[in-house]
Amino acid sequence: MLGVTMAIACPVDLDTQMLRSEVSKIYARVAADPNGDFHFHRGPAYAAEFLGYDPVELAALPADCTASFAGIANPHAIAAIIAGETILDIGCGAGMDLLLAARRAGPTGRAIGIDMTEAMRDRACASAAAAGLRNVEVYRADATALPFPDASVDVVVSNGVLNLVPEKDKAFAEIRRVLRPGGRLQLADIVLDAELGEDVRRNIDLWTG
Amino acid sequence: MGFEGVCVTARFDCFRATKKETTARKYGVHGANVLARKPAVRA
Repeated sequence: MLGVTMAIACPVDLDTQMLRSEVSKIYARVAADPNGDFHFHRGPAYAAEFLGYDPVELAALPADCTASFAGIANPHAIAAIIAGETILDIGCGAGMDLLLAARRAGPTGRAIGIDMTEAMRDRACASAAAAGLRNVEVYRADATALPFPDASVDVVVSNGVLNLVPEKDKAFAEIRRVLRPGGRLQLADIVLDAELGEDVRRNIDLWTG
Repeated sequence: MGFEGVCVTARFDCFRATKKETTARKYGVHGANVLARKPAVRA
């Protein structure tokens, strides 16, 4: 443990539909123009320099999926994905972490991505096809209502997404439901050194950046 | 939350050199790798 805590409950009465809409708009812009003006880093150079991804491994992926990468940590550095495992990437974006998972899971494994932004899903699907990865599936879904059976997933990964979900308790309950007993959550996300005040938690600009 | 073995395994200064660096430092926000497991079924 590194001495931080992660807030799970988020007891604020935000307009969650508006929040989802704003988040989706931002990530549609990232998909359309990864080099645009955003408050967060994007791309493979950032992933390698700031987050410890292997630049050689990233260079082997289609540029369309790495250019729109906007993660904030590195779920692949948490534990090794084993050949044959089924991995679910919540908020897969353009698919960088998803395709890395697919390569590690191999032809006997499955890499399933969900994302609520159509432009990101399109990039992920196109990148999987370009990389010749037949074990990748991408669906439109929300973290709070995963369209998968109980205990059907070996590993859940997510990178920079759950902090954007207002109903975190629902999302974690869904993750627990779809994981098999003993399954792993390899979560890359934001943590805080201290609890935020109510005024900060109600500020939608701070949620979306 | 229903998980066991929850631990932060690494932290990242992901907002460094962004427009939100000052805000991130003000609120102690950083990226982190977190591992957790769903409890195995006991025999």
